[in-house]
Amino acid sequence: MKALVRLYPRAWRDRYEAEVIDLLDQRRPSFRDALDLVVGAVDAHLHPQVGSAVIPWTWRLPGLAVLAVGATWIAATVAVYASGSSSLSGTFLGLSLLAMTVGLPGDYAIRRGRAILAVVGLIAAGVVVAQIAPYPVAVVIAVATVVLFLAGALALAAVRAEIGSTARWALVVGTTIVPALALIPFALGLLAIDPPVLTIRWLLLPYGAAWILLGLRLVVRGSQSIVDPPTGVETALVTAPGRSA
Amino acid sequence: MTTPTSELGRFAEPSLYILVSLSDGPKHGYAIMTDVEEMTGAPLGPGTLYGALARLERRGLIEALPPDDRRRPYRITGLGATTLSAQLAHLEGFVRTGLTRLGGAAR
Repeated sequence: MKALVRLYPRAWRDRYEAEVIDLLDQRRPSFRDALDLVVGAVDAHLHPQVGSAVIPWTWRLPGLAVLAVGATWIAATVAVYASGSSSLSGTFLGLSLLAMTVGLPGDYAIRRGRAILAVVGLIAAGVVVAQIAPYPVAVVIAVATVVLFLAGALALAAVRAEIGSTARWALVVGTTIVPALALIPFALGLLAIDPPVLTIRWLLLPYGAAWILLGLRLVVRGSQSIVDPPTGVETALVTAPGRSA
Repeated sequence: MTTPTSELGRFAEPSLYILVSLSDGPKHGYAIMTDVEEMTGAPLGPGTLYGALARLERRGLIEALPPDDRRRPYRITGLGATTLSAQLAHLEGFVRTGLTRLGGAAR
């Protein structure tokens, strides 16, 4: 039960943690108390009362966009599996790209501009080479290009959500590169597909789940959106005591 | 103009209970919790209690006193007492109106 207090923001814990632990020590906490603590932790993140920094509502937009990427990715996978055709998946994946466009840009994109340009250049080169290279090299390059795009976008979202480098690599490798490697034998026709392509699409579900996790973290923490002026975090935070309920 | 507790959203009702609890003297979190439970018959969860305490403290309706070990007592401020008084007077008028109408309907 006391571990639930760790769900609260650092500033809140610095102020109230000892009191709440003392309170929990004095009574036998119920399941309802646990639920109340979890709801309270979400509220403390969304409406911080301790400290002076209040996150503008526009800072929730990147997280919502990243959540939308995950939702559309999962919807595309499920739609293909349920309908037996890939026509719906194209629509969902198009929406996913739109959500990425809204969710990923931010001032960090300027700081990491060279790395982003390098990846975009590699993707462009991969598209060209895949068109002119002979089979099966073209298939491998096409898959690698798609994986580079997906992994790069997920890595950017993880950077934006301020995930540590070890967890970031684990997330990208586990949900993008490993499933992609599993797909290559099917793409090259080395393994028979039974049931058809539909089953292997499930390998891509973890990728959507990773976006959902990052989106939830971003919504709670907040991050500069494309509609905010290009200022640093410190100056964009608003001092507004009593502004949030 | 005092700050009405009604602007505190879902924390308005717990905040009112806490102000009433503190109106007869300072109390720490657990004492407030048990006092509110005795008054209302409904338990106040720890997340709700501290969500309301943080809001009341931020708005200057209560203030924290120096901690005694891990327990920190809170006391109602002048602004808090004025706000509570206004809230209770409003509720009193509301109750009186309701009882009068109920009595009229019963006749």
